[in-house]
Amino acid sequence: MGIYGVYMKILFIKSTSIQHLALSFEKVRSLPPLNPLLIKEGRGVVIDVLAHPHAVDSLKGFGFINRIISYNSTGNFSPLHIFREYMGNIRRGKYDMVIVPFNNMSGSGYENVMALAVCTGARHIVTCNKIGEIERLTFKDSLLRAVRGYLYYPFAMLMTVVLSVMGIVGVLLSLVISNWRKLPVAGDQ
Amino acid sequence: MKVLVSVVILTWNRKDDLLETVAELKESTYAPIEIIVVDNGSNDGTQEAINEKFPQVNFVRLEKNVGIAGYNIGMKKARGEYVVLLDSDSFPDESAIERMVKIFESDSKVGAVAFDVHNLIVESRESGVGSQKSLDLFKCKDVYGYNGAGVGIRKECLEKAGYLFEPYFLYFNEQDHAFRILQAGYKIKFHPEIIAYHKTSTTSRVSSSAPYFYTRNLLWMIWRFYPIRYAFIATISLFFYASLSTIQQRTSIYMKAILDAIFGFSMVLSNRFVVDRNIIKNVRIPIRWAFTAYI
Repeated sequence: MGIYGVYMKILFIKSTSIQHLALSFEKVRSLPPLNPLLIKEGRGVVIDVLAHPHAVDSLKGFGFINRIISYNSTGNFSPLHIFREYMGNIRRGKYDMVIVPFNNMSGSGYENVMALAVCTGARHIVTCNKIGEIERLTFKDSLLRAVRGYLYYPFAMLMTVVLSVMGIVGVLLSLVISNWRKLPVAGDQ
Repeated sequence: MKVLVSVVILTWNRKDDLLETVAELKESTYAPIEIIVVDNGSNDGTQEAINEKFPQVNFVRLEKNVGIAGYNIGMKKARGEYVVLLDSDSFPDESAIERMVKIFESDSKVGAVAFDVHNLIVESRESGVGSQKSLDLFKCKDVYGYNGAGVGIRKECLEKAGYLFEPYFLYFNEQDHAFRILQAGYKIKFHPEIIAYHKTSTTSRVSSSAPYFYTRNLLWMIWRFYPIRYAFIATISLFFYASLSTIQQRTSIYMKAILDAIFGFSMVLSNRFVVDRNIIKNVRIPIRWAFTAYI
C-alpha cells in the first residue's frame, strides 16, 4: 500500500458544499499519480469522506465512496474536537492522501481544516480551490498554513472586543437618532 | 377542477436562462399555470425576447433593480392558490409542480414546499423523476428553511406570514421568510422527489457585493428573530469571524457591512419577531461560511 502501490487511501474532508466536493472528486481524478480508470471503476483507490451528519445522506449517492465518517458535531471542524474524538480513528485509517476543498480561491479561513489534514498524518495533502485548481502541499507547507491561520486569532479577539464596544455605542446612537426623529415638534397636536 | 398555480420568476440580465426556464415550465405535467416574470431592469433584450416567444407570460418590467422586492411585486400579482418562486436560472422538474400541489392538498397547515434543488453544473438531470409512480407522502419531512431557487408557497400563508423582507435586497431573505412561515404556525415540507434544477456554477458567484450583503443581512436576521441570549452569542461570534476575515483577507468589506447593520438596528428592532428556541435550535445557519466563500 502507498501512493505508488497497489491502491491508495484517500480521505476527502467535506469542508465545502456537496457541489464543490463533486468538483473536487473530478479534479483529483486527474492527478498524475492516480490512474483515472482505477478511480472510475472503484479499484486501486479507496476513498473515505469525513463529513458533518447533515451531509451523510447526500454523500450516499456517490457510489465510489468506501466509508463516510460522520463528524459528531454540527459546528465547524474544530481541532479540539478532532484531537479528542477522531484522531485515533482517522490516524488508524493510515491515509496516503488527504484532500481539502476550499470554497474560495486562497484557502483563507480554512486553518481548522488544514490542521485536521495535518493531524491525519497523511504524507500528501492536496487542496482544491473554488475553481477546481489543485495544489499539492508538503507536510511542512500544510503545517505552516494552519499555524499562520491561528496566529491571527488573538488579534481577531482584540478586534472583536473593540467592535463589540463600538457596536453597543452605535446601537445606542441608532436608537437615540430614531427616537429623536419621532419626537413631536413644537406646535404639533 | 385543478387550482391555479402561479410561478413568479425574478430576472436581471439573464435572457437565455430565462427563456429556458419558461420553456421548461411549458413541459410541466400540471395545468393551469400562470407565469409571472418580474424583470429588475434588464438591458439585454429580455422583454422583447419573452414577448416574442412567450406572449402569454405576464411580464412585469421594473425600471431599476429592486432586488428581492421584485418577488413581492410578482407574488402580489399572483392569482393562484399556490405560488412557486424560481430564479431565472432555475426550473422545476416536469412533475414537481403537480407533486407540490398534492402535498399542499394533503395538509392545510403546509405553508411551503421546499424543492430539492439540484445543481445542473455538477449533477446530471434526471428527467421526469418518479413521474410514473405515485408520490409517497411518507418521504416528506419537515424542514426549517427553503432554497429560493425552487419553493412553493401557499398564498394564504403569504398573507399571514408576510412577504419577503425587502431591506435585505438579496441573500438571507429565504431564511427570514421561513422563520415567519414557521412562527405563523405553518409547516415547511421537503420531498426528495420534488426537484428543481439550478444552473449555479461553483465558480461564478465570486462577487464583491456578496460578502457585504451576507454579513449585514446575517446580522439583521439574527437581531430580528433570535431570542436575546442567542442573538448576543451569535453576534459576538459573527464579530469574531468578521474580524478574523478582515485581517486574513485584508479587506474592509466586512467592517462596512457591520457598520451598516448597526446603523439599521432601529429599523430591524421595529421589525423584531422572536421565534421559538426550538426553531432556532433546528436551523443550521453556518455563520463562518459567509466569510470563507469569496477571497
